Amino acid sequence: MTTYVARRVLQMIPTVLLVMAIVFVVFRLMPGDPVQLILGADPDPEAVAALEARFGLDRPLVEQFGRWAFDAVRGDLGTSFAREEPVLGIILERFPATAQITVLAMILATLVGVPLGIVSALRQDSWLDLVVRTFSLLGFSMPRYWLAILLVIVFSLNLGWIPPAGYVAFTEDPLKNLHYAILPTVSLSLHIAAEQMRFIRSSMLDVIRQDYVRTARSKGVPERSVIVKHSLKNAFIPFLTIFGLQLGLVLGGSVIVEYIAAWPGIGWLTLQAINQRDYAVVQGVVLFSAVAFLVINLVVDLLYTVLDPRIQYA
Amino acid sequence: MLRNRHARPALLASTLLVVSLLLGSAVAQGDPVEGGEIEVALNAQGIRGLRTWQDNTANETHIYTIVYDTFVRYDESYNIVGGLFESWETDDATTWTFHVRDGVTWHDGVELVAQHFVDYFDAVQDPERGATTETISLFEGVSYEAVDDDTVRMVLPAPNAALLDAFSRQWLSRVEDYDSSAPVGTGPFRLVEWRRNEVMRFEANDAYWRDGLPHLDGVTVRMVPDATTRLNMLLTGEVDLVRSVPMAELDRLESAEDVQLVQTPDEFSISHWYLLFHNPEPALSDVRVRRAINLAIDRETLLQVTFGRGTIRSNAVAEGSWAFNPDARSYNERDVEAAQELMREAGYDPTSLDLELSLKYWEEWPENPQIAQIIQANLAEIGIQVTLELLEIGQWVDTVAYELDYELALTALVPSWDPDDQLGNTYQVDDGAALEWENQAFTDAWIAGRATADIDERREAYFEAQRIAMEEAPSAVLNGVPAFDAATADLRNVIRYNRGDIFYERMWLDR
Repeated sequence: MTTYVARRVLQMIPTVLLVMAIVFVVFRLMPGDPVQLILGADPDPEAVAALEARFGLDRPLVEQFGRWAFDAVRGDLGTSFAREEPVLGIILERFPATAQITVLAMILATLVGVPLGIVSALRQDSWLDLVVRTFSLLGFSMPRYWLAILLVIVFSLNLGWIPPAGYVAFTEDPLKNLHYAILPTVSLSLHIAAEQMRFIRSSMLDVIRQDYVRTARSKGVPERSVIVKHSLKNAFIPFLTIFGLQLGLVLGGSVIVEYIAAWPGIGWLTLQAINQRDYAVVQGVVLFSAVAFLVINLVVDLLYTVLDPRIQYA
Repeated sequence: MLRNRHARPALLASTLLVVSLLLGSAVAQGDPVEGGEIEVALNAQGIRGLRTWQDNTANETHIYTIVYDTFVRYDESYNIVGGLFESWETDDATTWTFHVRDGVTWHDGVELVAQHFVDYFDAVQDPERGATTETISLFEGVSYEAVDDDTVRMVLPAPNAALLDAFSRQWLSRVEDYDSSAPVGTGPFRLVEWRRNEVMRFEANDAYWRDGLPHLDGVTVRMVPDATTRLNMLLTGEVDLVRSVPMAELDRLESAEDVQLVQTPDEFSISHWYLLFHNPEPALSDVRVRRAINLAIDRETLLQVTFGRGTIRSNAVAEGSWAFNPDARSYNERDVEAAQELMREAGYDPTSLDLELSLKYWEEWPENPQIAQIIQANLAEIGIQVTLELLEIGQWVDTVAYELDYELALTALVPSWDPDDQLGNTYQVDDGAALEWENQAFTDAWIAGRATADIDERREAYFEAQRIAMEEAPSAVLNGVPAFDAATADLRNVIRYNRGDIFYERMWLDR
């Protein structure tokens, strides 16, 4: 197992380097110059030179990339051009907000999506299945930002139940924090729930037609036990894959939902950094998200061994 | 030849400045009530820091009104009054003596002295500090000294009566020990908490130098990037004030209870849409064609683009200005027949569409495409076939302002209140500016306007400059850009100045 983990970690390195190289090059190809954004139109050449030297932008691109990659390996993601503060600190400052709605959305989605997916599979082609599938399709089709807007119109402006936007840190006022978190959480969770619903339904349909399930039933194993012990556990292995992917994606920040809900997370930070051409922050966020994504998927792979002891990593 | 380094940057800055513009109107008031705190929703995009010499977006400047003070300022009648400089003297608009206001302290208790200004002037010119071009050029060739703790003397390389206007946009921060996480100012509120891109909290500065101000105990600024979300927060009572309301939302807000719209009286509006003519183009080098275009544009219809709000105008100087010349030629009223006659005189058949011109515009402001289309339709009536070319704003700036590769170009300008800038910014008194219009008589009049501190002499000079500009019509000044803020009805004395500033120290809550 240890060897496997070590191998996987080593395999991550080229992936991360490739992501770093792509984001580095793409952002330097984008129109817009961070120095000009800071100094304004028609800036003084001396001021430009001084600022470029301070940010290291006067060096060849290869050298800039090399320095950034070398520092990043040591945990230094550079300094924000706009704020002149360490990028890692800025990311960590915003990460709890994104992590909170990610965890809440994943919990909510799983609580809704998994049971409905199971019921839908067990009652295949019934009216209940039809309702669940329609709901799932709706969840898939509805853009998150649109759902967020609908929620605001109905529950904020008309009913006055939830605030349309805002944020208070959990440590400052837990109840208020959760109140504000409802909108982004629900907006994020519907799509996730819909995906989980369809996935668990399809996975369950596959499993309950397996010979070992038929055998269990013919042996007189109670239906509840057939579903929970024999079917669900096996259906969960592919589900875990999609769960890991969803978690990784949402943890990288949901730009639109955070933007609409004024939720100060990673997604909103990314958007701001792009607008300000703050290369250092964008590179840092992408690197952070890529590493988080890879680690989550590694953890998911390791969890397979827990659900199915037949899976062994050497 | 006069070199005005402000001209091109001013055109660019005006083009890129995408918000707050107008001069304030107070809501019916009553006796101020002391105490209470308000929350404000503000677009977070662009608040990089509070370095007054460098950070100059509309949102950053908005925060400056809370925590800093300007050197001088405009009062509600648009007269320059003392700020941190309590008074000043000049005989020739070249040598200026400024007296630092007594009894002003920074938020950490340090007394304000003349040396703080000198340190600021030094910092502005230090390339390492990265000051904006506009700020640097203000001090170019200027010598200055702190005569004593209370007096700053400045000697300019040439007379400039508009210096005070420029100083009304200079916010003083203490540069020698500037702390980006906790900047110190002299303003009505002091910063007590700043969670970047999330929230800024300010507490009343009990030692503020204006007696009896501020009325509020505190201000909390929440960063909310989406304009609709900001309005929803106002409508649900989450916040008390939002800035720069989109025009399409005005009807919704007007019909809402307990909400007030805050705008500038039309006559004080300084920002306007603007159609540049590239004067060296063969057709546009003929003053008759330029006048014909001005006469053909239907400014009444253009008003519909802004839902009937805003002002019809064709003069670069706002009607409320002391320098507005009511006798200068006006193009406010459309006259197609006269325009057609001018085209005929210039050798063009107004019924043939023989003359083809391109019009370059950008669409970051949603009204721009509609305005371009109206102009296209208007000019077709006098025989000009206009081809519209949409450019990304950065590309527009490069193509029009730097490469001068255009015939007609649409943008918006946000000049200052002083006629020196309203005329200089619009007609770009610069040998390399985008209009490429050179008129020595106009330039002489414009220079005469800034060369004296005497208001009557200045008025006379600007009257002449306007007369020439409106006769020659080197471009078309279009309608004023309306701008609105919105607040809860119980927030009193909300005044929006014509560059978008709102001064929190005068507000109070009637709750």
